[in-house]
Parts: sequence; structure tokens; C-alpha cells
Amino acid sequence: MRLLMRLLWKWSQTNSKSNSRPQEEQQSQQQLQSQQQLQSQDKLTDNYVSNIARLQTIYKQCSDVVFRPFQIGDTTTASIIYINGLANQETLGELVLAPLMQGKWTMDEGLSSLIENALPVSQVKLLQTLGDCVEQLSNGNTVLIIEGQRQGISIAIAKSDKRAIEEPQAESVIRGPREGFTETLTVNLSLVRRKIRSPLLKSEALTVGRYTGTEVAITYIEGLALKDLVKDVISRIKRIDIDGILETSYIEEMIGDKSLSPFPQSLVTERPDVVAANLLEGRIAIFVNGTPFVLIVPINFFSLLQSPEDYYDRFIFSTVTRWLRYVFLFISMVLPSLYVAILSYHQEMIPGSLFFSIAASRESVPFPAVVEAFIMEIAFEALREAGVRLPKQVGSAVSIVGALVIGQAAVAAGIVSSPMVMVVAITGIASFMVPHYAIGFSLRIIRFPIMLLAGVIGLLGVIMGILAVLIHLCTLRSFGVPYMSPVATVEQKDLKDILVRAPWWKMNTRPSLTINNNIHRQPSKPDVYDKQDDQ
Amino acid sequence: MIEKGKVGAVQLCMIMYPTIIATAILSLPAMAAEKAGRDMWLTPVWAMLAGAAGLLIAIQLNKMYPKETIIEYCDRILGRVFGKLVGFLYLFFYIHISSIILKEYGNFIIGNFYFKTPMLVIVSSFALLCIFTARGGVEVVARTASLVTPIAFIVLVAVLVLIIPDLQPTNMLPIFEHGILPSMKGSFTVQAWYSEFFILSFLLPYMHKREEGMKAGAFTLVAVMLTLVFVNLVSLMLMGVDTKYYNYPLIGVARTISVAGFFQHLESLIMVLWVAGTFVKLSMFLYACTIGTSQWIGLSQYRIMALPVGFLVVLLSVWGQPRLQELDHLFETVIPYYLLMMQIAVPLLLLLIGLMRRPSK
Repeated sequence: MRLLMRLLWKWSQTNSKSNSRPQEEQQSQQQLQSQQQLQSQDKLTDNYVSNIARLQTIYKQCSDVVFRPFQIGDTTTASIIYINGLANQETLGELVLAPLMQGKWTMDEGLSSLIENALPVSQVKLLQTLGDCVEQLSNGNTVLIIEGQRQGISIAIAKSDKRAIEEPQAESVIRGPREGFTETLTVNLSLVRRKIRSPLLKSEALTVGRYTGTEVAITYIEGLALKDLVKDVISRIKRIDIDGILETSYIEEMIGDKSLSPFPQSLVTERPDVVAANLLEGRIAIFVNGTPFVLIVPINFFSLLQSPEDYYDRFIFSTVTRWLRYVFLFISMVLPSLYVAILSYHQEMIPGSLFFSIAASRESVPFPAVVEAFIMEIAFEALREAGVRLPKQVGSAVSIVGALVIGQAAVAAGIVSSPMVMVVAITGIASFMVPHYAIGFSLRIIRFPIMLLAGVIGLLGVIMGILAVLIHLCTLRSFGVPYMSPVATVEQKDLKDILVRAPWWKMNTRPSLTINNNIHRQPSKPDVYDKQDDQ
Repeated sequence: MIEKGKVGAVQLCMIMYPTIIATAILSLPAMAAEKAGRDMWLTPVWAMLAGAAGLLIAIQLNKMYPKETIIEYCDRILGRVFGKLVGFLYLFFYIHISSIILKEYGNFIIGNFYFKTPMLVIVSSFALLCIFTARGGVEVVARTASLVTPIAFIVLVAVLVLIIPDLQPTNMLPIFEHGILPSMKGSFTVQAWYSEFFILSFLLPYMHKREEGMKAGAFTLVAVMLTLVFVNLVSLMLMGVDTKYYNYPLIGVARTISVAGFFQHLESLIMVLWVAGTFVKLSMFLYACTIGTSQWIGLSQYRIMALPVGFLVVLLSVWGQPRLQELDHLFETVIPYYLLMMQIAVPLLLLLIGLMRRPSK
């Protein structure tokens, strides 16, 4: 009885705790919000001292914010405010401080004459509120506050530390452009703009994240992307209320249709040419400042299986590569399961001579095939993960140990059979043949439940596992576009870019599900597909 | 309308083709051989009439009530009380037929591959997959069918092609030994499958372009006829009139295949074919049951009905026909009349009543 009482008491305690905590959080959040609103609404006044004092309270305990008071033309007091490291200090001295301090300027003619005559800087903006000041400072610009003036001036002389444009590591090609995105949003947008020079390329800017205030750009080509889709994407991103966005994956998970699915519903790429190609097919790209990875929506399953190089190589070669990729995609999903199922339940399917050699190699193995498969597959996954995380100097050690332990020694010790090592190796290679890392990973995860099914009810289990995956894929949608389109929805015109890679002179129509009306790539060249249209 | 999805013409073919042939190709040759003997390969040609009738009736009824399934227009044609009564009959009919399909599946898997696995495990795991598909709605049924049907078709063609070296065309002779009558008689069993074309009445209301329904249906009808003729021909040329002694002649065909001394014992391929085909068929039937039940009750959405209806189908399949022999007996005696009545006769009656009532409005 006593125990029960104590339990009840504890329970009520934890309950009250969990009740009170959100309230506190809410209060602090409200405080923060009201503060922020107050600041952004507060207007700058003609009282120079109070303006500076208010800005100083906002940036209390921010050691990297610099307030530098000086005199304009020996008569007027002014201050420049900037964030150390974000603003370009040399240019600041040359273009702002020097002309203002050395010149004989008076403030009688107002701010505009000062801007027109005294500031040799191309981008200058007038600021009305404290909020504007804070925003400009965060962007790396310098704010100039002058005695007796109701407006501040923002001077755009931000310095940015940019990484050089390099070839993306994860998406390398033999033939094709070798540039990749960097961490800077403006550079990334300019890379796309250099490829698509039409003014119809639009990019809308949003800010997401309460603390990080991350810039997000939604890029599309007007007239190609569906208007409703653009609106939908923007509204979904606007709905995000989070403390910070550090990578595109935050947005990917927050706006995806079914985040619980193991299959990615948006394409992630580091390559400007991939983004350009997708924009031309009416898709929408989402750029996030601070990461080289760009999100492309909506996609279908097959866009995850296409490499940019498919379009740069000759079409016959690309077509054959695609078929090879489809075969190995299937292999990476089911080969171990098929091996387990046939070995455990359908031995009659194996031709006699092969069966004897497999049986001989399995003679000393103590485990059933399914356990053996699990051991090997998990070991392989561990090796792969270790290979990614380890510093480069140790990497070769892992591969040697892996090859020896997993391959030769395990077989010699009689823990696994050599055919199983082969199966696992082929599966591993197959899963890396998929051009996009994300989809390769989902296929590798799915392999495990199917292997279990194969071990329990053999080939029937494998078939049912594949059917279950298919059903799941068929229910998925990415921003309204069926995931298995155009194959499962039988859009005959679009199959030319799925089953084969048609030569460019045949690729006259854009994918029909993302494009509304502007369907022809080569409007001056009507071809066979048009005739079907007319009927 | 509680179904918001749409189906294209090609997707319609992809659903209907396995819906007819999936169960037919396995047991049909034996049944046809029993009645028609050497002329068994002709039976699908005569039986095509039933398919054409089912197709035409479904299309005509759909023209009268373009956006409704049979459950809905029953009410409009027969009035509320009689309409609900006939609607209930159809619900029972489709649930019953689904349970028979499921039972056939279970019998085949257990009889040929998994001798010791309990029937309930085999049947319910498969039913679960189909329930998920039916739950997703007509679009998911259509999409899965469009992916699965080509695979099943390729497997079927592979089996039929690989067996060619072992065939003996002389088994066909003499043609029309006892006149044309035996093949006509044999076709009576075969028409049971063809009459399932009437399930189109659950698909036609959701087509993108309704006028394409007739073309797609007719195309499927011919494809089904050709497939069945080929399957019957292959069984006949390989096993002669002895086909009738097999439960599943196609398994016998696959067992005989031996190419290059490597491809042997391809029974498992038949399992792939059968599971894939039956999956589409049962998904379609379960979808019909699900949406039919929801429409009959008047629900605002049908997804929640999928699991209960599926559960009922699993129960019925386990209780309904405990043994293979009983199921076979059912196929030889009751099923042809049962299917003919529910899928041709009653709809024809509905159509006539509908036509008579129309001018008075």
C-alpha cells in the first residue's frame, strides 16, 4: 500500500513537472518575442546618444560588435557600427572613415547629399528602425549613425570568407562540368544564374530559424514550374518554426510528404548542372545558406537513379548503363535474400554441380544461411561506416583488416562460406552503383527485413517483401507527384527518359507531371510525339 | 464521390489482365481438358462471348450513370429498398469470390511448395499485402498493377517460350474429333473467369477519359483470350489429354523446362507469376469490396473499411472450403452458374430496367 502511495506521489510529481516546464518555456519565449518585436518596431530618433545607447543594450556582451565614434568635418559626431570579421575593415577605413573625417562636410544639406557626395560605395541603404540596423549588421554590413539624423545608413562592404569552387566529392563525373556548390548562398545562386541566363529564372528569398535567421532561396523558372507547386513549397517552408536551420536536411524532413518513409522524397545535389537541368524540367530548387547541398522537389523514384553523366555521354552508352544500374539496384536489394531463400528452401533450383561446390564450402559452417548472411551484411555495413568516419591516414588499415578478417580469415576459420562472401561483396558494390547516396542507403536498410523473410518462408517471403516495398513506393508522393511515376502511372511520353536515355534530338518533351503547358524542349522541331498529341 | 483517384486506359488494362488470367492459367487447362479433350485450346475463344457481354453491360451501365459504381446505381435503378438488397447481394458476392481467390492461392502455395506451413499464415500474410493496396485506393491498385503485371507477363512468356523444344504439335490432332460440341461444353467452365470482366464497373467511374474504357477493355479481352489459348495449347502439346489429371498443369510445364542444363526446375518461377498475378487480382477484388461496402453504408471515406473487409475475406477463405477437392467440385458445379448469374444475368436485368425507366423521366 505504501509503495503504491509512493508511486502515485512520484507520478503526480513528474506530471506537475512536465506541466510546469512548458509554461516556463512559453513565458521565456514570449519575453524573447516581445523584446524582438519591440526592437524591430522602435524607430531611430534624432537623439544620437539614445540611438547609440539602445543599440549598445541590444549588443550587450557581444564582444565582436564594434562601435567606433568619430567626427564628420570636425563638427558632427557620428558612429560606425560593424561586426568584427563580417565587415571589411580595410575598405571601411578607405571608403567611409577617410572621406568623412578628412572632408569638410556639414550636415546642413541632409543625408542624401552626404550619400551622393561623400560615400564612394555602390550599395547604400537608409535605415528607419532599430530592427533594420540589427538585420544589416547581421548581414555583415556597416551601420552609420549620425548626430541629429532620424535615419541610419547601411553601407554594404561585407567581407565574406568563401571556399573556392571545387569538384563535388560525392558526385564526380568523367565527362561534364567540374564545379560544385559552396557554403555561400550568393555564390551558389550565381553558379546557376551563369547556366540559365534568362530573366525568367526566379529566386524568392525567405528567412527561416528564430536564432539562425538562415537565408533560404526558392528557385524556379517562371512558365515551366507549376505556379501552385511554387506556392505550395513556399507556404510549406514558411510554416517551419524552428530555432535554427543548419543544413538542407532540416527543410527536407520538415516539408516532405511522408517523413517516416525510408525513401528520400527530394533530390539532394552539389552540382549546379544538375540543378539547372532539373529547373529546365519544371522542378523547384531550394538553396540554404551555409551548405553546398541543394534540395530539388518534386522528384520521382527514377530521378534518384539518374546520374548527370547519363546526359553527357552518348545515348547508347547511357542507356546500357541505366539498364545495368536497374539490374544492380534489384541485386543490391534482394541478392542475399535470394541466396538465403534458395539455399534453405529451394535447393532443387540450383544446378547439380554448383550445388555440390556450395555444399562443400558450407560443410564446416555452423550457422544456418540466414544467420551467416546477417553476420556478413552487418559486418559490411560496419566497415562502410568506419571507412567514412576514420581519418584518412587510418583508412587503408581498415580496408586491409576488413578484407582479411571478413574475407579470407573468416572463410578459413569456417565461420562463413566463400559463396556468402561473394554474395555480400556483390551486394555491397551494387548498392554503391546507385548515383545518389541517399537511395543506396534506403535500399541497404530494406535488405535486412527481406533477408529475415527469406529465412522464414523462403522465396515466397522474398516476393512478399518486394511486393510490400512496391506498395509502399506506389502510395508515396513527392509534392503531389506520384513517386513511381512515370512508370506506374504509365506516362508513355516520359518513358523515353526512364527505360532508355533517348538521344537529345528525340527528347522533345519535358516530363509531363511537373510541367503545365510549356512542354516542348525544341519548339521549332515537331516530331513523332507531337503527332500523338494531335490525335 | 469518396474515391478521388483517377485511372488511365493503360492502367485499366494492367489491372484487368491479371484479374482475369491470374487464377485461370493454373487450373483452367485441366478443367477445360476434362470436358473438351483435344479441343480444349478452343474453349477460351467461345468463352470470350461471356467476357464481351460483361464488358458491354458494364460500359452501358456506366454510360447511364457515369460516376457511380454498381452499388450506387442499384439504388437508383431499383429504388431504395430493392437497391440496397441487391447491393448487399453484390457485396456478399464479391467478398465470397475474394475468399475463394485467397483459398485458391493458399491451396496452391501449400500444395506445391510449403507443405507444412499453416494455411492461416500463408493466407493472412498475403491478404494483408492486398489490404494495404486496397486501402490506398484505386490509384495505388493501378500503380502496383502497372509495375507487377509486366513482370508477371514476362515470366509467363519466358515459361511458354522455354518449353517450345519439348512440344509435340501432333497432340492436337485430330481437331474436332467429336464435332464442335465438346469445346462448346468446355467453354462453359471457362466463361466463369471471363465474366469477371464485370468488375470493370468499379473502375470505369474513375477513368481519366471514359470513352477509352471500351477500347482498353476490348484490348484486354483479346489479350486474355490469346494468353489462355496459348497456355491451353502448350499444356495440350506437352501432356496431351492427360492434362486433366493434373491439378496445376502449368507447374508440370515448368518442371519439364531444361535449358542448357542450367535452367531447371523452374516451378519457383510459376510461384512468382502466380503470386504477382493473384496479388493484383485480389487487390482489385478487395478494393471493390472495400469501396462497395463504404458506398453501401454511405461512409464519407473508405480507407477504414479495408481492414475489416479483408479480415472477413480471410475468415471466409479458411472456413468456406476446407479442402482442395471441395473447391474443385465447387468449380465444376456451382461456380460457373454463380458467376454467370451475378456478373452477367443480374447486371443485364439492371440494364434493361434502367433503360425502361429512363424514358419515363
